[in-house]
Amino acid sequence: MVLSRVKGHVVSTAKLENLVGKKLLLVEIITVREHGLEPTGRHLVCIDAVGAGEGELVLVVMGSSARFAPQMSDVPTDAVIVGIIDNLQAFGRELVVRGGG
Amino acid sequence: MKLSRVIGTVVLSKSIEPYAGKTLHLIQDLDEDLRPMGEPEVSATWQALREGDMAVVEVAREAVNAFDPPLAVDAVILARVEQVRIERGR
Repeated sequence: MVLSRVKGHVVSTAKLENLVGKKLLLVEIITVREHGLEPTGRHLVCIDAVGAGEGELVLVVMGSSARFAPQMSDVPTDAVIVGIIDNLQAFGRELVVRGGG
Repeated sequence: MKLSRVIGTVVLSKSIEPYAGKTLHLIQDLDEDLRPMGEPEVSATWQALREGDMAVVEVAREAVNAFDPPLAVDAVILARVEQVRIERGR
């Protein structure tokens, strides 16, 4: 799974029936370095399964595994937000506390 | 499957219900000299490991089957590795 930062909402009124009622968010993939978190410049459109908000650090499941999230079995998606990050410890120290970092 | 090292732990404040109680580790792939390579990623695990442990990691769609019922994960630690023996020059 990849860490990402929510950058904004994607609004679409004309869409596949299976996507009706699903919230789409634009996220930027974040990587982890010893000195902290770093944005990669790579963006994704994800389906939000947890009610994430702009600026939050989230966990994204990629590929066909994403369809195993609840209510996603018939949705053609390869990226679903499955969690909001509370705390991240790496390289022997705390890099994120409550979605910051 | 691939060889990785556990470099951290991720805790979620909110998640899809099937993730409740599951441990998530930050991992980084290793090359044949057991040096870190590539970008860190988040992996589920069959049991909590310690930072610095080596592990065998299954990635992509097959990872969901490490749990019963299947869990929406694209990486899962399947085993802790105590030793890697590399036969060079063959």
